[in-house]
Amino acid sequence: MAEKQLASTVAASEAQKAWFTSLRQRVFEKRAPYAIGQADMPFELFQVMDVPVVSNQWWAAVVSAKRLAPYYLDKLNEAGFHGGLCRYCSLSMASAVLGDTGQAPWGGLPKPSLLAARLTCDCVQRVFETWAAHFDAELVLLDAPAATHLPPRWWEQSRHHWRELFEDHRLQFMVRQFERLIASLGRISGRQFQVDELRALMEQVNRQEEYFEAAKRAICDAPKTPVRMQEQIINVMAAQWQRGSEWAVSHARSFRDEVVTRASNGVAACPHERLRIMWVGAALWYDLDFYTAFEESHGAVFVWSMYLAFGPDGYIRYGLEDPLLALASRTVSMNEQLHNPPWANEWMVEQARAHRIDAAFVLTPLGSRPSATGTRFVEIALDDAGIPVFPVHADMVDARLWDGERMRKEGARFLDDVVRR
Amino acid sequence: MSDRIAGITSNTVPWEILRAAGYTPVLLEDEPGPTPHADRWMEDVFDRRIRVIFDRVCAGAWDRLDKIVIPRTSEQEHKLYLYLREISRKQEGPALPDLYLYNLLHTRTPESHNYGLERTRQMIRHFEVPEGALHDAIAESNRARRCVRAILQKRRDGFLKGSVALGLIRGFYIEDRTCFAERVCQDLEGLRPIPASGPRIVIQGAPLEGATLHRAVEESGGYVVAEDDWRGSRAAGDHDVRMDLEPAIAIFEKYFYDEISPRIQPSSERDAWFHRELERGGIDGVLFYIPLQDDFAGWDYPRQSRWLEKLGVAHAVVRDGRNSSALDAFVRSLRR
Repeated sequence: MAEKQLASTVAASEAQKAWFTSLRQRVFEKRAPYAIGQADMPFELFQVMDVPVVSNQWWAAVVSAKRLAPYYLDKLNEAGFHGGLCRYCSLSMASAVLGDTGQAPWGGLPKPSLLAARLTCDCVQRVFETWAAHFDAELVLLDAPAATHLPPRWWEQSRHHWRELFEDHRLQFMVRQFERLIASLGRISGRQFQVDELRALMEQVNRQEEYFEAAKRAICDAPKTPVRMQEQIINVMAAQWQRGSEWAVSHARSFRDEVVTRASNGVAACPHERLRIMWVGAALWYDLDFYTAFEESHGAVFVWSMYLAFGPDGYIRYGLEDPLLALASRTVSMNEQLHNPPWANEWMVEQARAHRIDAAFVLTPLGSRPSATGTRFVEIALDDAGIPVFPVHADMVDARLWDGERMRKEGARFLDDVVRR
Repeated sequence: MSDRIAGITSNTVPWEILRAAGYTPVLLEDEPGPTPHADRWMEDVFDRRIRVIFDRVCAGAWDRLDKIVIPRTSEQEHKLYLYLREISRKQEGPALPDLYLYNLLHTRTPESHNYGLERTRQMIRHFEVPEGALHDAIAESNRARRCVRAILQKRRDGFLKGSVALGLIRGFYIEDRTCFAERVCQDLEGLRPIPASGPRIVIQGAPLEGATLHRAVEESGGYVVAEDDWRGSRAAGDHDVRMDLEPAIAIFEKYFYDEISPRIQPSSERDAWFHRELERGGIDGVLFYIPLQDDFAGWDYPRQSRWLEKLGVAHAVVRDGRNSSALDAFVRSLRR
């Protein structure tokens, strides 16, 4: 990856590695419990119940970034799971149960006490059930009723009017499921759930996301972006997985301060920035250099991905009298907000305008169905809004499907056209 | 038959509620031809039948439909609902029929049970079903279910090829169920045993695309005795809708406990029918239909194949429904 320009980025990377090392120590030496969860699970509950949780997608990204995905995905196929199945959600499982698990990054995942996922597709429960059976670990799955109330401009209602926006029957159902999850976490940790602790944590999550919003605004307003997209992702996600914790809030503030200071001082991530590019979809974890590949040739800088922008719009909840209900509202519609019409396409266009985007690279994941859908709607909506679109058909973790050289050439040709317009 | 037609996308739309509300429910099926609207808006991850439904509805080609009812039974149907809603909102092309989502969940938890029951009651309210009409609709549907089971029994007894059985069962989804029941009773009466039927095969895996695979097996000399598919052996379920319960509860529990969905959890519940079918005995082999576009059957396959190996039942995987040398060799290897 290109050099890290922000001190926050270096700190975030080091903190993540240190957190994982400490987790392994606690699990191996003190037999402390820990969980593995899908990225859209309510990590806040794990925090207040004192059960550390490893995000399945984060770990898949780490495995992929270390160029180990082909090895483990081959093992998955050798075990009888065919090559067309989803990879983003299954790579971590493969790295923990198949082949030489010891060669996984940082020593690999220790045996979890709990596996937890929300069923936003038809396959993830199978991945998690296979995984839980292998480790004889507890399994908690949260079902996902569909949204039928999808008013325009969800991000204008989600902070204060979340009760109305996310449909009471869906929220109540999610709370009932949370109660089952809390009971499971209580069994594992021996802790009693305290609703006031959750409320306090939720307030801290709001602070954290407000810092991210300030950083986002600085990126929107600066003539040239003060921070590259890849560094945004590292900083934001390191904090999001621990959201509301003292470290996470403090890190979000440091990141905000650094980005705002750079913007105020006129520091640009790429001084010859001419085109502001948006990346729609999860990152290509095995080839993060792709995101700087067009800076030299076209002055094209990736300034936006969902990771920073979704923090404030997707997570902030004001009115925390019933924090479980508020947490349910944060959880129930992530898939609709990020991946499906009408909410995803409408939000992407709004984001593109706010960030003065010149062109969009839109990923259609080849090996992850939940995030593959809705991409045509996003592409067409961006195009209708006057933003040229470069479709990228690739997988976010499976480097076996990626021809980086060819994609750089095709991306460059697309940007040539954008420049000529 | 009622004049109002409700298109349904699969097996878990409560037929009884629609019927009692004065609709004729009709399954929306695949049909040949290009799908330009689907090609524009849908990613490759959607199955052909879902693409055709989206395409024809967007094109206004199915303007006979007064309503489309979609259950939350598979992710593809969920996305179909969202996509059609968006096309309707954008007002591109002709006006779409009213869309209705039946938020039936399939995790077998008390929370999903309570949630689904309330959604079923809500659907009865939304469709303004006249009091008492549900009982008649349940009785009508139960008669048709018994006919489906009669078809399955005839096949099990060696009177009906699998491909023919699938063709008969299709009527359960696309015909008036009273007419279906009467017709099937007549059709089944004069059947004679098929002479020298071949090895008896169960099909497992992803949803089937019609009877193509059945015909391929039959051409190789095999006899498809059952398939884990809602358009075949699973169409009627094991039980009728109970007449001794409050109709909303009886209908909901039928669709919650006695139907097939890729979202059923845990796997022991998903596998229950398959295990019972094999444990009855008399099965020579299992054919897994798992195309590479599949996103869920492939996760179940290693577990299911390990179980078959313990039972000593031969099995093979096919990636498409057409006849192939591998399929032919497998069926011939099972020859009785």
